Amino acid sequence: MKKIIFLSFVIFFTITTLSSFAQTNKLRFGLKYQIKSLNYEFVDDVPNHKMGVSHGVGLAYMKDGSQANVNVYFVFDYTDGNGNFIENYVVQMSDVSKISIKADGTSFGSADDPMFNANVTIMSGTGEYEGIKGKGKMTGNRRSQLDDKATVNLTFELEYTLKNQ
Amino acid sequence: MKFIIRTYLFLFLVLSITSCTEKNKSNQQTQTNQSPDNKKIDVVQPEDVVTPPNLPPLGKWMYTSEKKYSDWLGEKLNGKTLREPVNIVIVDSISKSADDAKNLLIKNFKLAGFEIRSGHSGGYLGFIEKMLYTQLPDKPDHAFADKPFEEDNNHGRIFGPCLINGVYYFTGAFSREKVVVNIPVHQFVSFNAARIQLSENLNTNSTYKFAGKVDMKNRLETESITTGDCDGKAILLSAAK
Repeated sequence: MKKIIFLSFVIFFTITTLSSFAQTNKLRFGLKYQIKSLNYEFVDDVPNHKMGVSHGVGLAYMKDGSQANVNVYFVFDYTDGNGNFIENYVVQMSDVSKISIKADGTSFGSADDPMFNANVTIMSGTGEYEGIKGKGKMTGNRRSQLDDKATVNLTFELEYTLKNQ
Repeated sequence: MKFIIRTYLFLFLVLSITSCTEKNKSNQQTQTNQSPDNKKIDVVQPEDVVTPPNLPPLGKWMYTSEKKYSDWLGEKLNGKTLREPVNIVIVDSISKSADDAKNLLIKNFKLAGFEIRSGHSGGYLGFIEKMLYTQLPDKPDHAFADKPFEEDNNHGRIFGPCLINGVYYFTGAFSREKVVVNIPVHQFVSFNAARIQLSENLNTNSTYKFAGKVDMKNRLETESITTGDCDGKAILLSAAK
């Protein structure tokens, strides 16, 4: 009986210790993208209520000076230019590793030059980022109304772990 | 040859600064005598204060050290006197003391590329809750600016902090100016451009993040006074846990 208790303790201790070694990393980058396509419909409940989808492309600027290509896909539900959105980003690093990120946030301030904030989840990764898990915050703004050439500036502050670490 | 060029450049710079200062002095004197907009304000008037939701009463304008409406050193825009609006509001719920709040502000502004720079007028005041606060930076003739005063730049001053229920509040007034070399003077360009550049830089590089817009109701256009391209709103930035 004592052996079983001792073994259980050793196993528990080993698992706890190993899991505590999963290193948390920080990923901070700026993203500037341009909207390339925009489709929306008016919702006939209140004035200026739009729901739509959009696609953009841009560059992420990493803290180490490197850049990454980014595809952005988002759906929005805005009244008077502000409201909720879900935005998905596929970030392709220079070494072809990829990270897929999802932001669930709000647009606020004004329709003409709105600001954004969102809770961010890292969905998956490939290459160097295989097995990535993480979350964080996104904030940003757009200096113009939402149209099919508008430029968007975002900042991401994320924490992540990798399966192999 | 190099010596002659250097001497010429030095003299040109000295003459430029002198000329600019004289123009500003002259403009200020003109305004003191003639403008209906620069009467001394002993008590900030109720119509010059807004109380936005979840914020303390905030003054709409920047004031000179003589408690007059600040008028961009007498610069005229389309023949009208400029009135300098408050266009930045900062809420700091992290700092534990006024000094902490000031230090965080200076650190964040530096991260955003807005350093404390000379060559700007100083001594300005801004109203929060119940009183006028002196400007930051508090060094005479200094302001926060993203470039030296000899170049086109965005610059401004911050007022506060005002402590209410453990939260520190600042307001600020920022504008963009360009240097007209051949006259040479500093010329007003925009309030909005400076506001967005500062807040974008802060959001990207510091712990101050976008938190919304504050309706300051400070867009003004009369026969003699203008707030230029000001849209009546301030950008709200927040440092939160």
